[in-house]
Order: sequence, then structure tokens, then C-alpha cells
Amino acid sequence: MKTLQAPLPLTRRKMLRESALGFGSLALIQLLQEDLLSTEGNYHDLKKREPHFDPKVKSVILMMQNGGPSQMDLFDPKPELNKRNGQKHTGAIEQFQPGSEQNKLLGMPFDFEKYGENGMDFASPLPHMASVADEFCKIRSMISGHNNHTEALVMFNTGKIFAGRPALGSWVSYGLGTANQNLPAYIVLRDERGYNTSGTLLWQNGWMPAIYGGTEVATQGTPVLNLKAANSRPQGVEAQNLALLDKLNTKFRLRYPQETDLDTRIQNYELAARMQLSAPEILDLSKESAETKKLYGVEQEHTELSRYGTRCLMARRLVESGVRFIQVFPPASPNSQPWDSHGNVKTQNESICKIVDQPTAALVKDLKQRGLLDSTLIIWSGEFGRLPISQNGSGRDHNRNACTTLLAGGGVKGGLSYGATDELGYRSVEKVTTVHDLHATILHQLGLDHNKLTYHHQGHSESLTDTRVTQAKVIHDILT
Amino acid sequence: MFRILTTLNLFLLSVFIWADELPEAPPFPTEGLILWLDANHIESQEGRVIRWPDHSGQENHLIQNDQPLQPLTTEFNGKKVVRFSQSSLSLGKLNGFLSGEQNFHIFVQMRADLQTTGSPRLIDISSIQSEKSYTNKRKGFWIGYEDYSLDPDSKGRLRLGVAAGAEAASSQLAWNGQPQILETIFAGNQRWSLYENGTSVGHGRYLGDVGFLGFVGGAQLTLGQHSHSQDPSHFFNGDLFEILAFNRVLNTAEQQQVGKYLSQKLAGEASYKVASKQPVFESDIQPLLVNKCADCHSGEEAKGGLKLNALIDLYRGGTSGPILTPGNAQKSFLFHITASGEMPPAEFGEPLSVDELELLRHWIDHGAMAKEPINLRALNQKTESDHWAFQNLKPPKLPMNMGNHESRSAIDDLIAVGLESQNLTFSDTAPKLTLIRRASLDLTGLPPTPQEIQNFLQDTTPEAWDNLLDRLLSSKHFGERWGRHWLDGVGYSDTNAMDNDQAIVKPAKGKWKYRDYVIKSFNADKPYDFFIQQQLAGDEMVDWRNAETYDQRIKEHLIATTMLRCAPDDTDQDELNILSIRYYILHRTAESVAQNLLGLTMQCCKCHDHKFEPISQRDYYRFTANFTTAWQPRDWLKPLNRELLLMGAKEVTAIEEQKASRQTQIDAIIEMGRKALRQKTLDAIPEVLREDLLAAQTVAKEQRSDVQKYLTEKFGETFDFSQAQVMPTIPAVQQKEVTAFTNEINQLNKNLDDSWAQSVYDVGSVRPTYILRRGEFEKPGAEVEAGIFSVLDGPTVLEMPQPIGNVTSGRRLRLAQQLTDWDSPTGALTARVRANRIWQHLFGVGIVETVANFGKSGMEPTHPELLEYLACFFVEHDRQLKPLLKKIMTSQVYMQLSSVGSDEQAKQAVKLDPDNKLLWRQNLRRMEAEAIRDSILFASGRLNLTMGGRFDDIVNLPSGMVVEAGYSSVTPETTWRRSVYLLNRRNYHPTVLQVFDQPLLIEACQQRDASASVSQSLWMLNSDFLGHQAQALARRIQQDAPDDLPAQLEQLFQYTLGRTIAADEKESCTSAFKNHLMLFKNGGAEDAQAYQQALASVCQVVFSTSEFIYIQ
Repeated sequence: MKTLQAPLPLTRRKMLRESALGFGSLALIQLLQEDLLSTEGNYHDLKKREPHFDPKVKSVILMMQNGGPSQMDLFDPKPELNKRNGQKHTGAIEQFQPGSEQNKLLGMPFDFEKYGENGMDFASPLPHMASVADEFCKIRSMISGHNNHTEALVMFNTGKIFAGRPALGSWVSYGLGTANQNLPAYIVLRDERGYNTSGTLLWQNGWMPAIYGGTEVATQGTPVLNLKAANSRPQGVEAQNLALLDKLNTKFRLRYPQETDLDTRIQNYELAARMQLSAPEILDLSKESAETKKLYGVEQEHTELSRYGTRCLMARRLVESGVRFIQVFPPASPNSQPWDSHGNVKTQNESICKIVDQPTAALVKDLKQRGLLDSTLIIWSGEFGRLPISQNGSGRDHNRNACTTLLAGGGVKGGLSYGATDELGYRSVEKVTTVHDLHATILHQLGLDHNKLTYHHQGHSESLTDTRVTQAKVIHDILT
Repeated sequence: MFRILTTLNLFLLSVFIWADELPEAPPFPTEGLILWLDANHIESQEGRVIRWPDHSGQENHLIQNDQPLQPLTTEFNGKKVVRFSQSSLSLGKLNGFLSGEQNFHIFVQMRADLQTTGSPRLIDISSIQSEKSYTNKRKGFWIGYEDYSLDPDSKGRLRLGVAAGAEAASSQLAWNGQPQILETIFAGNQRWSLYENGTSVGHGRYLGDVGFLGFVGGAQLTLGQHSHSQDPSHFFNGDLFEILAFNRVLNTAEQQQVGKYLSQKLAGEASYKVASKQPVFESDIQPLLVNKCADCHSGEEAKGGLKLNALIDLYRGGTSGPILTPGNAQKSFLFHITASGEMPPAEFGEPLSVDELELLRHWIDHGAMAKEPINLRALNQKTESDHWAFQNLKPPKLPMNMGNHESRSAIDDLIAVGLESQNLTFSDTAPKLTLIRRASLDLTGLPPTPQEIQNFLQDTTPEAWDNLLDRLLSSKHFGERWGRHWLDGVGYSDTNAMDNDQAIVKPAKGKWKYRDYVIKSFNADKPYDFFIQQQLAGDEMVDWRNAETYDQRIKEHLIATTMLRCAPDDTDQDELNILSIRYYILHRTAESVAQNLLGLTMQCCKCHDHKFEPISQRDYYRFTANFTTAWQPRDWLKPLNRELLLMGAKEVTAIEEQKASRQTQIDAIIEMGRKALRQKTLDAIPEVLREDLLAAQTVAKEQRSDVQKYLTEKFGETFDFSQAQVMPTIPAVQQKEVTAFTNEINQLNKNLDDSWAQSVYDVGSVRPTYILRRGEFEKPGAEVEAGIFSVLDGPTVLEMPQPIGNVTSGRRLRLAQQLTDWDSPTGALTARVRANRIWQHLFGVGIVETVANFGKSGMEPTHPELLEYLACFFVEHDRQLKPLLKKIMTSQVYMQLSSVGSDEQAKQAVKLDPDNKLLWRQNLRRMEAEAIRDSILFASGRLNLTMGGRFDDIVNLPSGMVVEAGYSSVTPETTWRRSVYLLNRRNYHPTVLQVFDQPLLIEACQQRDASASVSQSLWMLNSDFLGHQAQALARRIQQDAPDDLPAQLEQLFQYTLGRTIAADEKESCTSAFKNHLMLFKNGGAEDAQAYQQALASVCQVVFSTSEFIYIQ
């Protein structure tokens, strides 16, 4: 057998080990990897990468509103509906589920008022969001890909109606890596009691490496899976274990100087150790002022409001920590799609608005007062809208032809109401905007060209927007 | 008595008119004839029609039992007619009219009375799905007249339309009181045409969402009335002479034959215009096309790649496929798109006139001919490609070994060519210790035991390696390892659904049997031909439909077809049981087969010809057509309706009877016991109270008197004791009997449950497959036959296999035969893809790195001749896996070291070929998730090697962790089975497997990722599971060597890393252990406990090492 010796990398490794801070030397490890990585092809790491052009924002918060908020009842008033309430509609309406047989138009149960300098419409159940109207850019002319929740949600988050492709957040982590090496690049904040409709499909990495998938961070208990030892050990055991492991791993690594994966593994144990220290801080809301807690509605624990408020507050803390992409989900209990108002538009919207309205506005205000709103892009949207006709008397069925999406933050025109639906709110008719356009725009704000951000998969160059098929384009009209 | 008399009376009064018999051979084609009503053949009663018999042979006889609604039998100008006046005839189920979007061609010889109101309907075909009130599922089609009340100007116009859908009207008045021949053609693609006396009067197209003619479970037919309507204005007034309906579209010649027949019968009344002239391309069609189409469709910039200048261009079609089906206008895209008015686009000009369309139709129906015969040979030639992967197999010329490299076989010589070109050689042979671990993990997914290692090290015979490989290849665990690779490739999941809800797991009944089938097939080393034939077409290879009982062979063949049940299918949910999703499942299934077995990504061709590959859109649909007989979107079976009980009816009955008989026996014993217990209980109560107590028990609780309440509270609410209460009171013998019977019933139920299989088989009838323009099912183009990619078509066309039981189409079986026709380019590709996949599993990277893409857009093989050699070897050795594996594993390239030496040679190699593409060393490979988990359990001694059967459940914890069921009650004795037996979900995999890159199985996976993520580190450091296994391993090594730490550490390394612990490692581990021991003791643990925990900590560290999870 030949004797073992590692040529070049040994010295680097040595340098790393000899440097004062064991993990302050990540940059060097990355240098080492850069030497050895072939320049062509896909990335396989979370190193910070330069965008294609100057970015407007550093972080994105996608506030997914599962179920399909009712656009005409909350954001896009249609006086014609009230005028013709109860009348039979003669035009063709694409109905999806039973209960809308009579084709009767349903009036809007809430009063609308205009808010902010440009007079943006908000219905009465959304007073807090209305109070920051000037920060929102409202796209009234969104269209969705499908009338069923799962397909529409999967499309909204991955670009195609069938699951299996990487989520928007995965593309962002892939394209930009992460600024904070102590936390995952792409974090999902869901109701600790369960998953919303379509669950993990909405943050999966598809055919990209698993490191680009969303990491669920809990708002209770241990924020990250396996962050804490299942069985408690005396203090010190962990540190010794890591030291022993490092010895054994380093010895093995020397036999394979060309295998950068082995370095990553050593580095990952270091990262794990650091995460054990830093990640619980995300959960630690004790340092938040009483004022902030009140703003988000999290003074009282275990209310629906405080649960959602906690996720919004954590989203802000993650933005502060440099996390790239954060998904915030609405309550998953008792209904995994809380905006799905088939039964009663009035009562169902009232109850979910009470939970979502205040923390959403709080997040906008809080980011603004901390000077972070300019470098953060917030997207608030459901997967589709609802029909102008009634279902089960006072509810509305799904509508893929029109829905409202709100944007706030970096580089979007606050106070702008963009696009329009027809007189009944059934169809987007003016400046029709697709999910693909939205994706292209989000990437654009992060400094990424949606046509250049590609991933090679089985010989094919894949992109999030698949422009050749979808004709996706950046919506420059809504950008400053 | 009275009723009988009345009936008799009626019978006597009846006058049946039986006119002359129908001619034996009608002077028109009868293929597809499903309805033939002739007013000369009527069953009537007192001049009223009670039954209009059908002479098509389909038994579609129309009746009217309601006397006021019976039409009259009478004459018009001496011709027998059925006269309708507020009357109707109907038929509950129209035979021969298939469900789904069925083409039809209907002739009606009729005469209509003038009518002033309403929208009378002459013919109404409808099908209402009763269980759902969805408007878009209410299907129907009718012919009638414009609704006068809506538009008085349209009076007299013929109209046809669909229920709740669009309508079209004729352009001229047809309501003229004169006999005429009315003709309606529905030609699929939601398009129809209307004719009067042989002249086209209108075309229409329904622009709704779903195929409107989705007649589910047969349609009903009504003549003279809008189905079920009582509104007088909905009735047709007039005469019907004759009706002919075909369930296909006749071409012009056939149409004229029928027209001629009908007009002769009505001689002098209505004559059917027969086109006198056969249109010719140059004079009739070309000017039309130039005028209407050539602006966009000519020259280099022709839209859609379609030129319409020359006839050959028409034949060639555009990027979305051919546009002409000579001899059949109705199947021709050119005709459809112009007839519907879609082309030319409104902004470019007027649509073709009815006359122009007629001309076009006649021309196509008459063969689309030109004066000058055109050379069509070029068109029909198969697509040629010089791409390496599409050639026949050709054994490579083996290079001579000039003694410059270590060589054990031809494989080495072929690799060495590349090495020598860079002046490199193979690395040294790996030490035996490395080899046995490498081979064990590669072949069985489990590490070797210390004993096996010892045996191998001590075996110094030259055959030691061979013998080791033979032992591993014949291990029953071989199938678990290689079967798992296969399951990845087909995208196996225990559920049929998309599995998007974490909380709801819906395993498909008995689907796991396919997993066992795969494992067994690998263990038996089933020849690949047979293996994939069974999976693609097992149902077409055995006559299971007529089998009384299912023998092992039948069951195996049916279970094998589960391979085609792996695409996510959510159509059990009504909302998702829609055409677009059904098509998606069909297409996904076909794409998956192409990708897994042929290494061809064909998704792109769904919508357009492939930009890079010589695969056309036509190819896509030809390939898909192989699966349409089983996955027919228009004869859909939901997953729950598709599963099969692999048990003959007799067996089921026998089981049910046995269950019932056992239950009767149980009931009898319990009843006896119950009586005794009741008596015993009563006996224990003072006699004076008994009667009152029994009475009290019968009174409802809240109505009892105080005394009654007292009694029932003291002595009991009821004496109707439950089985559980009775059981302890009966004799032990009887208790045993009941238990035995209950167990027997449970076992029988389990047998029943386990007898389901998720199979694939042909359903419904063989329907045509169309090219779908832009991949959209609403836009069918030309019809295609089932086949293989034209670039792979061999010189000989394989015959369609003989159908079994007269119900199979044989398409999938023929496809399987094509794929395994080793002398053809198809077989060659199949063999190459397989050989490459095998190589990938042994070296981490395929010879073609894009294992699922052998097309032009895929990567070139690094060693083309080696791949050719391996594919040929595979074919020559009965397409068995094991001989090929042994061949590869006995080569130097496999056996060499994976680590890099320090000599000049190694330095040179790292410099020249850092990625090891030339294979100057073996690759270091991270183990797959399953191998990691199984190895941990194997080392800890907690692995249960029981094979097969129902999967082991997994549980989702609220935290998001997914763990093995039973996790909460783990004891030192708990064992776990191998990972392949855990419930396979598409999402929400057990966390341990998920973090180590077990793929999400939304799509099949041909290449796993081997990432190094921090969640893996966290799992290793902190997970409950690994903590348990570390404890178990600590106990194990303590038992092996009580009170001997050095020996324990030695054992630890043997079990986990399969080697002796080195001195420095021993030192580090000992030192860590001692520090741990102190910490645990300080933490308050007792000595023995502290020792065990400290040792377990060290065990967990060794599990966490890179060395443990890599194959060197």
C-alpha cells in the first residue's frame, strides 16, 4: 500500500486549523473549494454569489395566503355586484365545485374605503393593512394556473401546476447562496400545529440538491429539526464529541485530498455547532420591546393572532439575520386553507382577517422603521381569487381568472393599484399578470435575470420561469 | 281480472304493420352503423307507434309507452312516415355509442311543419350524470330549430348545439315543409357540420372547457322532443321517414352512397346532390390556399413551420404535426382548422365559405390528389440519425494490452486506452478489507460482519474474491439493494395519489406487492426481457380475465404491471378527475417509461418537435398510444376502481363463508356464556329484588323511579353482557376456541386485504390517438398509430401480439417486445441504458453521466466502447444482471483504490484528471440514505432482516420529524426492518432518509443526489434514532468484551467501520470516553449507567464519521 499524504490541501487545512477561530475560516475553505470545483455547470453549495446586476433587495418574504382570498370582497370593489346582488348572471362563469348552480351574483358584504395618498381600496376587515396603503403595490389583475388549491399553490410557488420542480425560494438560494452561514438560506415559517394545503410541496428543492430546499423553522420548541439532542447530556459532552469527530474525520479526509465533500462535512459539523448557539436566538422574543410585541399582537400567547404574529415577527428577525427567502404561512388549524370561503364570505373573511391583518401591517411598519423595508420585498397573495357568483348561498367558489396580489418594500411603487378586472371582478382584463411575471419580477429585484438563472437537469437547461413556454416578463411598470 | 281483459283486448285490437323485409345487403357501408330506423318497419297499435325497431343490429329500438305521446304512423305522398305532433320516441341507452367524445354521422330523412314558437328538437342525445350536479358534466347534443321567441328573424333555421354549451345554426332556411335529407357530422375535436340534401350549410365549434360529449355510461336518445321537457314548444312537428346513425364519420364517397340510397327512396321529393367533379389540387385547392393562407404560410418565415405552396408541403405538415389525412377530411387538421373559422385568423381575412370548405373536404376525402403524382417516398422514410445511441449494438474491437497496465478483463483494457492516452495507469488494487466492505455495500447495501471479514482475510486462495462475490450475489439481500435502485427508476410509492397532505396517508391496497415482486425478481436474476415485459404488459401475457382462480403466475404478471401505476394519480378526488389531469397521468406514464427504459426525455416533444433530438411530436403521441388502451382518458378508471382483487370469485366466497361460519361458532359460544353469566348474576341478587330489577332495566334512565334508579345503580344497568365481559367467565377451553376463531377471522381478513393489487390493464375500447397540438387535449390533430420513436424503428415491424381473451390490444406487449428486440436500435438503446445504470451504481457516475438522457442533448459517453462492450455482454449473457455485475466487479477498475497515493503518478493523475473521468481510481461514494440507516441498524445489532410483506408504518410528529411507527415505545429489544420496507411516501419521507437525499417521488428518479447538508450533521449529533442505536451498540460491545475498554473500542470499529482501530484513534477514543465518564458521573449517573452512556457517546461519534457513510 502506498503511504498516505495529502499534497496541496493539507497546507490549507493546516492553515484553517491553525487560525484562531475554527470557523472564522470558512472563506478559506470556500477558496479551497473554488480551486477544485469545475467552473462549468450547477452550483452545489450555499456560498454567497454575486447577482447578475445590482439588486434592489436582499431578502424576500412570501406571505402565502392558502385558500384564495376573495379579491372583490377585500381589495377590488365591484359596485356592479351590489347593484345586481341576487340577479342571475347570463354570461358563462367557469364553476368548479357544486353549489353555484344558480349563477346568481353575490354582493360584497363589507364597506370599502380609499386609503393613503393615492386612494387604495381596502375593505373594512383590513384596517391595519389599509393604514399602510401607501407601502403596498396592489396587482389586481393576477391570474392563476388552476382552479384547484394544490395545483394553484404548487404553480404559485414553483411555476408549474404539477409538483416536482424547485420552489421560488430554492431558485433564490441556488442563485445567490446565503449571506448568513449560521442559518439556512431559505426558511419556512408555518403553523406549529400542522401543514397548510400542499405542505412541503411549496418549499421543495425538486431536482436541485437538498441544500436548496426550504428549512422549516418552528415557532415553538426547537426551531430546527434535531437542533438539540434528543437525550440531555451533561455539558461538555457535546464539545468533546465534536472534537473527537473532527479528529476522526480529518484523518479520513487526508486520504482523499480531492474530495471536497469531506471538507463540507467537517465544516457542517462546525456549522451545526454554531447553529445550536445562534438558531435558538431566532425564537427568543424576550429582547423585543413591549411596543413591538403589541404591534404584532403577540403579547398574549397561544391565540390565533399571536401565532401568526410570531411568525411575522420571526420573519423580521430572519431578515435582520440575512436570510434570503422566508415563507410565512397562515393558520393551518382548524382549516389548512383559511381563506377558502365557500360557505360564507362575510364570516369566514372576518375571522381570518382578524388573524392576518394586524401582523401583516406590523411587519411592513416594523421593517420600515428599522430601515429594512427598502431591502426587503414582501409578497402577500393567495393562489387564486373567487367568483362573483354565490355558492351555498353566501360563499364563493374558486376563480383562476382573477386574484389580487399585494407587494411591499424594495423597489416597488407604493400606493399603486395596477391592472384591473371586469365589472364583476370575474376576469382580469387590464395588464393581465401571470405568476411567471411575478416570479420574473421577484428575481429581478434580487438582481437575477430570470432567463439567465438556469439549472442543468438531465441535459436540459431549466429555469424557474421557462420563458419560452410562459412568456414571462418583468413587470417594470410597478417598479420604481 | 279486469287488467288481463284490458290487455287482451288491446292485443286483439292491435294492428301490426310489417312491411317488406329490408334488403339483405344495404347499398351503403354498414361499418359503424348503430341505428337504422325506417318508417316502412314500424310496430304500431291503432295507428299509433309503440315501437320503432332498429335494424342496425344494435337493438336500439325506440319506444313510447305513454299513449298521448305516441306518434302516428301515416303516409306522406304515398311514402310511409312517422308523424310527430307533440309526441316522441325514446331509448334509455343508445348501444354502440361509446362513452366519451365519440364521432358520429347521422342522416335524417324528414319533413318539418311550419312552427311559430319555441325551439323544437328533432333529435336529442343526452347523458346526465345523476350523482353530480356539475353543469359541465351534463352532456348532450341536439338538432332542432332556432328559438323563435329569441330571434324571430331566424325562423326556419336549422340549429344544433350542446347542452349548456355553444350552438351553431345553418346559414339558410330549412323549415320549408318539404322532405329533405338532413345530415349531421360530429368529427371529434368539438367540431360539427350540418348538411341539407348533401350540401354543407354550416359548421360549428364548441369552445367550452371540457369535451362536451363525455357521455358517461351510455347516452339516451329522444326523437321529437327536448328530453324530459313538457313544454309544447319543445316538441317537433313533422314527419320522419328514415334515420341512419353511424358511430364514425363517413368519407365523401360513403356519404354519397347513403345520400343516394335515401334520395332514391324519396324520388322526386328530395334529391341528394352528388358532387359531379373530383377536385384537383392544382386547379381547385392551390388557388384557394394561395388566396387564404399563403401570406403567412410560405417562404422561409412560414408560420408554425408550415408552408402551403406545394402539395408535398401539405403532406409534410408543420411543427405541430401533419395537417392532412388523405382520404379523410374529418381527420385532417387542415379541414378542421379552416372549418372552425380558426384559420385564417379574423384579422387576416374572411373564413372559408361553405362552398370552399366543401371543395376542400371533397378533395381530401378523395385522396388529396394532384394532377402530377408526387413523390411521397421521402416523406415516409424513417428519421435517420447518426447519433451514437440510436445505432444497433456493435461489439467493440478490443484493444491489445501491451503490458502497460494492470488488466483483469476486457473492461480494463477498454478503460486503459483512455488512461494511457494521458500516460496514466490504474491505481493499486484496494486492500482486501476495503474490497469486502465495498462489495458488500454495493451488492447488499449492508456492511460485512466482523466474521465475514475475518473469513475473507484468511482466505488466501486465488478464488477468494470470486467466491465472495458469488456469496454476495446469491444473498437474499441482493434484491433489497438492487430492487431499491429499480424502485427509484420507476418512481415507486406506496400511494397512488400525489401525497400532498402530510396528515393524510393513503397507501394503495397491496401496492407493496410490487416492491416484493421487484426484490424477488432481482434475487432470481430474472432476464431483463422478461422482467420488463411483465411490468409493461403482464396483463397481456396471461389470461387473467377468464381465470377461475389466480395462480402464482397470473398474480405475478398482474402485480408486475404496477410499474405503470407510479405516476401520481389523484383522480379519486372528483375535483381532479378531469380530462386534463387524466391526460397528464397518461403522458407522465409514457414519459417515465421512455426515460427509465430508453433514457430518452421526451417531454419537450409533447408540444412541438424536439429542437435538439430527432424525435417528433408525432413520435411522442405514437409512443403514448401504446398506453392509451390502459390509460384512456375517455374511459377512465379512478385508482380505487382500477385496483384488482387477485382472487377468483370462488375464493372470495369461500373466505367469506369461512369467516361467517367461524363468527357463528364464536357467537354461539358467547351466547351460551352470556346466558350463564346472566343467570349467575341474577342468582347473586336477592330473589325479591330480581323482578323489580329486570323491570327497572327496561325503563329509560331518566324515567326511572328512585327505587328503580337505586336498583340499577347497585346491581347493574343491563345484563346484556358484552363479549369482553363474557369471555373471562367461560371455560378456558372455550376461551381458547374463541381466540383461535377470532385469529382465524383476522387472518382471513388480512388475506383478503393483501390480495389486492394495483395493476394496469386495458380498459374500454381501442380509441384513436391524436397528436395534440401544443400538448392540449382540446386540440387534437392527425391520428397516429401506436409505435416507437421513428428514429429507433427497426427494419422489420413487429406484429401486434395475438390478444388474450380477445380484450387486450397487445400494444404494450408489442412495445415490450420492441424494447427487448436486441438486434434493433431500440433494443440496443435499452441494453445501453441498462448497462450504464448498473455502472452508475458501482462507480457513482454513469459512463453516460446523464443516465436518463441518451439523446443528443445528453452527455456523450466517457467510454463509448466500454458501454458498447457492457451492453453486448449483458445481451449475450441472457440479459441477467449478476453475470454483468461479476464481470465488472472482477475488473481492476472496480477493484482499485479510491484514495489517492502520494507518488508522482498520483499527483499527475490529480492534475490531469481531477474529476476522475478516466477512472484512474475508484470513486469515493457516499452511501444512499437506505444503506446508511440499514448499516447503522446492522452495526447496532437492531436490524430485523425479515423480508417482504406490508410496509412498516411511519409517523409524522408535529415538529416535522418523520419517524418509524412505534418510535415512542422503543426498548433495548426493539428492532427495525430494512429501509426498503418502510412506507414509501412521495413526500414526507422518514427524516433520516430525507436528509440523506432519498428522492421525492413525484417523478421517477434515475440519479440520486449525495449532498452534504447541515441537517445531516444535526441528525447525526442529536437525533433520537441515532441516540438509541448508539446505546444499542454500546450494549453490544460491552457484552462482547465486558470490562475491557480497549477490546470494546476494537469491536466498535469492527462493527461500524469494518476494521481494526488504529493506535491514535484508540487513544483519542479512550480519552474522550474517560472525559465523558467523568461528566456523566458528575451529572449524577450511576457508575454502570455512566459507563454505558459514555461509551454510547463514542459510538455515536463513530456513526457520525465520514468513513462510516462512504464506500471507499
